[in-house]
Amino acid sequence: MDLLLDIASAILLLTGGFFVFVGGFGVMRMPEFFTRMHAASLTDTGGAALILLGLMLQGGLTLVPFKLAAIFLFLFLTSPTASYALANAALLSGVSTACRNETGAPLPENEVDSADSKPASKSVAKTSASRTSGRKTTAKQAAEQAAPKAAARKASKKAAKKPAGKAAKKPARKAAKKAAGKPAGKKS
Amino acid sequence: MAVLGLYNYFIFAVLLMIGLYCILARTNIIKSLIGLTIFQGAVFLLYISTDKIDGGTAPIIQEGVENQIFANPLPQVLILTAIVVGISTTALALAVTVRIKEAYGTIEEDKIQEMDREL
Amino acid sequence: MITIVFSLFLLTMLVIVAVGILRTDNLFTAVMLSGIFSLIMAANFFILDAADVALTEAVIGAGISTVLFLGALALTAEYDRSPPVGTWVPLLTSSALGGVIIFATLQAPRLGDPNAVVHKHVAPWYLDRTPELIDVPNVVTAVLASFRGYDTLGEVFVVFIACIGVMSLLGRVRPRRDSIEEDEFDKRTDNLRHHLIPRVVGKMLVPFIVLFGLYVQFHGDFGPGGGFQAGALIAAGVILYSLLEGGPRGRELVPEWFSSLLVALGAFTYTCVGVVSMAMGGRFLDYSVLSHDPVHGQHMGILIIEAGVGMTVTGVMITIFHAFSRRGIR
Repeated sequence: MDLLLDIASAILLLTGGFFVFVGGFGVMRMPEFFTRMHAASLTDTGGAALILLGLMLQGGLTLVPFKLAAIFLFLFLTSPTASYALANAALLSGVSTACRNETGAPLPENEVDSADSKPASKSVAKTSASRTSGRKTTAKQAAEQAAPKAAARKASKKAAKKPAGKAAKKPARKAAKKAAGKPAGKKS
Repeated sequence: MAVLGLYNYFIFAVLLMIGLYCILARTNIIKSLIGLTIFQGAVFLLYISTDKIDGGTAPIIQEGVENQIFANPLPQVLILTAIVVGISTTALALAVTVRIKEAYGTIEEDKIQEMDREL
Repeated sequence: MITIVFSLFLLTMLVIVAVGILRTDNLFTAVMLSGIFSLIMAANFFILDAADVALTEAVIGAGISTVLFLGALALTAEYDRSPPVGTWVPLLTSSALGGVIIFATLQAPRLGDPNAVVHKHVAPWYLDRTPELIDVPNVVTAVLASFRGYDTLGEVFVVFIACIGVMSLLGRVRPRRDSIEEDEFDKRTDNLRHHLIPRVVGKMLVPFIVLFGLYVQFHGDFGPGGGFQAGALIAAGVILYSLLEGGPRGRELVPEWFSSLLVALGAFTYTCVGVVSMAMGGRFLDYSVLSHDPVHGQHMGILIIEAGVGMTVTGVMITIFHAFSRRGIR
């Protein structure tokens, strides 16, 4: 019985690890933002779920599997939300869905090597951040300057930071609006 | 193996260098502040590195477990409070930065100095 | 062995992220990377057996600090437009510093050496006497709240003063909006409604974050936790709500008078415990006299001052966040 459990959990862990690895690989190799994000988010949720399941089998009948289940539930809610927020922000900021590079020519693979993606390629975890900048820069200023860089950036699971990042500016604006005597409105 | 035992300290030194370079080489105030948080993080890392003991666990005494080795709680206490104080002082620095931006219209140190000279 | 591998990996990651922060011109990227830096740092602390510190760093470094930086970015600039000043002087200075430190660390005891000097003095005393004198399982809490209570009182007041500083710098001035074009403003405000899913899921998480904060607050004697972490967690929950619903709604949830009251009340509670213990014949912050049984007195004292710390930290974080969010855009 123990052996069976071990085998099952080993299979789950390995599959999960494989998923995460493929996700990381996809983030590095995919041509443009949305496909990269697809690779990262999909495998991220799936891989994490599998790994947690594998660990739960290892935990036995203690408190551990329940804690892991709580983490699983949390990830299951937040990870897709983060991906959604990321994609939505990219869409709003007008990140092109077409493959492109600085010259506008169809994208060669090595686009990944440009800009600040070097350190990013080392880890899936730390890349998301840079992504957001795309929206803000295009929205506000210096779109020309930002575009090539933005195109070279990546999605990732750290996107949880993301909604925070975008929303940070908004309260301020709403506050300003209210202060100016105009009702802020409940529509938000 | 001797090098592995000192790896934490090397990383501490490298992070300290990066933080200091970021503070000195960039005139943008926010960038300097981020450099300062890296610097701060390096110091935290140094302190926490000293608390580790081989085979030890976090210093939480469990009933019925004998002869357990615990990590040193003292550096942990110091750094625990230092992190909270660090964010408060960073927030203060950010508030000053916001006021500088409002007063000068820029957060680049060199431009601020130019403006001051013109006065 | 496996922890060494993890440790090496995480430490190397730290350096890579730090270099990434240094290299980027986009301040937004730099801020997000610094959040990741803190998260990796927290994982590192956990590997080094510092669970309490890891919890604090994860909440404050990766959560609240990132939000505050973003708030400041919204009010200042998004790009680092400075040409690097003469690169040589900073490079030489920092290399000299790094060289000296690396040279000094060659003499340092290796990581985890049980014979290192730090482990020989004071710390063993704390570990040995805590069960007998204070009797809380978490030695970190015991040292923080009781043995080094003065120290913590000082830290609480530093946080308190920093909060007063932020309030006086960013506080009362009403945001000007002449500089904002009308439709631009509306468009940006409207953007909130595009984020339906994050708002729904985020709001679902807020109560759990606050609940976890309360758990950490009151379970701090037995496991990793305590006032500092709990305060930061609860504040993170409130900040998340404000981010999702907008500043005004956030200020309806926790009014500013309430958060600034918390700040003062927490510090006041802490000091009061000290004064009361003096009045009852002990020394300042000597909790043993609070009850007829010294150990029980210690428990009471720790519980109350942790509550005080929690209140102050919650209040400070929320007040600072509100101060930034209310400032308006320029």
